[in-house]
Amino acid sequence: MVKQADIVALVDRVRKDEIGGAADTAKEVVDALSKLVRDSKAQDTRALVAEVDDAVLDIMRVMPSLAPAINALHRFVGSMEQGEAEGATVAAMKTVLEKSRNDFFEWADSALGRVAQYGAEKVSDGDRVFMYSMSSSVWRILRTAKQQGKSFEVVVTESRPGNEGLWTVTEMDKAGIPVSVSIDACIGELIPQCQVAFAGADVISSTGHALNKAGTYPSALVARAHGVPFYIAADTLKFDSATLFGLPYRNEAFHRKDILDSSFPERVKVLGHLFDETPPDLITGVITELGILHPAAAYSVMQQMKLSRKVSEMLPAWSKGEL
Amino acid sequence: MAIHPKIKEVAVKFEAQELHAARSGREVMEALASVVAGSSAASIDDLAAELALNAEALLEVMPAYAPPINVLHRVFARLERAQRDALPVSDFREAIAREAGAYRQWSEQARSKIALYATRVIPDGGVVFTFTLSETVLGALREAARRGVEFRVLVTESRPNADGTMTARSLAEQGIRVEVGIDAGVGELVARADVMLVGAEAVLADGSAICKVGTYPAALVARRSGIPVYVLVDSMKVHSPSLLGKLPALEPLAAKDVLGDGTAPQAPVVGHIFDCTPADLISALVTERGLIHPRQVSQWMLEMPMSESLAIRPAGRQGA
Repeated sequence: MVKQADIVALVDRVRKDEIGGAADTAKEVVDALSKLVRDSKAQDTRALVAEVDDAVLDIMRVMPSLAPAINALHRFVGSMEQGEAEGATVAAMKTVLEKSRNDFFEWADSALGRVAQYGAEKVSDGDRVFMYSMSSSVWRILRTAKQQGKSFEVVVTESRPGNEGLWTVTEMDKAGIPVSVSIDACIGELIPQCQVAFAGADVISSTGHALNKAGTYPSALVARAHGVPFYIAADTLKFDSATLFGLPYRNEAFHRKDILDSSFPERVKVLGHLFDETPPDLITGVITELGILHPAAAYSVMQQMKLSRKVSEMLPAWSKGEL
Repeated sequence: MAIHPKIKEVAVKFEAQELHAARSGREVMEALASVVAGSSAASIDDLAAELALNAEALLEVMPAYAPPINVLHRVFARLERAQRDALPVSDFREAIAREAGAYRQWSEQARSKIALYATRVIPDGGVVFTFTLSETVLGALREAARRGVEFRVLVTESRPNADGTMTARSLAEQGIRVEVGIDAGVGELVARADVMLVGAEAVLADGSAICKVGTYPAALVARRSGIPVYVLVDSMKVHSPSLLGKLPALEPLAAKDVLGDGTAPQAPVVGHIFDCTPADLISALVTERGLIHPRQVSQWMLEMPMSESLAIRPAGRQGA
């Protein structure tokens, strides 16, 4: 079986981490798969399914810990499994999967808008808003609040080692929202001066823990100590169903060169990961397209998610990088 | 009457942020003793004016450290008593020389006692988290290693000056195992430790500790993880003016420390280089007088000599 060019290109882009965010990766994955289906010359359903299965395996092999992309695969492959169960012909299957793709894109566009809408309700006129690191979902919330005519200012810290907090500075500047900046160590001083705090999340686990850029958890602790509401903006594609079955998230350690120059002897080691885990009791609410949920509701959300048997079966090996 | 070169020297070091809290107490004591020793004042009142002028030069640039302000109180309280008693200049000169000598001796002993007591809270085979760079903490870790306690140390960068990496370098040179993380990583690093040891610039009347910025969030993580937090300070670190409601003003972050290389987007920089860890997050102050509850410091403040002229001086940036 010849590998389809679009899938090869996608796999390459995922492997090289060339795609901006998790949501964009999810869209590219669904788009590439639906194109594969559309262009397929398969004579029967089984051949078509085999082509898709092969592509999904290639994609999963290079996929980092991006819950949205995995969930998008669940949806797409789940639709295909349903079609198979119903004995769909090749033509019927192509229709099913085209619809699955269109539904996904429609859903994605409206979901992000809803997250922004609901989150903006938590920003009040005159607020000082703390935001940790960067998150396109939080940016959307703040832009929406600004469009609603609210006047507020944003405080952000660098977010070492990648300094993504400085992207937030640029983004707020573009939106005409006043922003000030500090170092990560200053969260103990700055968050108590704010009325509300927001962060994004890479993953929401089945127990309502939020995996996000390192520094989010201490920020949530400071917010709790000072009674500042702490919201996580995450549409339900960020809910990682693999955690329901006890699988770990992947969390990268940061690199030595990020903090120590070559003058340090080798026996000085570096320690720490790029992400930390904020426990549910420190999260005021998770802002999703379904509404603002208590993080404990993660299980209910996962119950409603379309899960693919085939993708689920790949996850244990995938989570160990052994697929 | 002029600013003594020793005072100028200390002032320059303060401005360059080259003095840490404990050492600054010793250096201010020495510098004030030099002013008194070298003064040609004929009367105690003339000497008082000369000392006041020199003290002002220090107060202008002194950061939020407790030891130097306590030293000033100690010297000025003695001066005021001498003025009241119309003491001969020579008697006062002798008294201050003795005071400076006693301070040197006390400081030496305090350091070794704190190191000894701190050694006893480091569990053998344990993991110590420390924040930033503290002469007192380094002394305690060296002492623990010398006594054969097995431990490893976790520390974070401590932006803006990366003082934490200096701690790592110093420990590694002494063969103590050390690992470095980023300040944003305290949620992970502190939770891996058995005990958190930090120094402080000042302890206020309510028992809260002024420390390098980032200490407070780290202490919150420690509390959440059930890890004891020990603040290693000698008794001169208690900020006696705070008992009178004069709180130290904290040094703001410099814009270059955040948006350093000029490629970063421009925005107002907020925040200070110290933060305040409340007493309820501190398990104990480890002092030369033993392990005490942080709220106990107000008792020590009441015992400390306080200068009337400094007490009524409008609070400067150091809250003196």
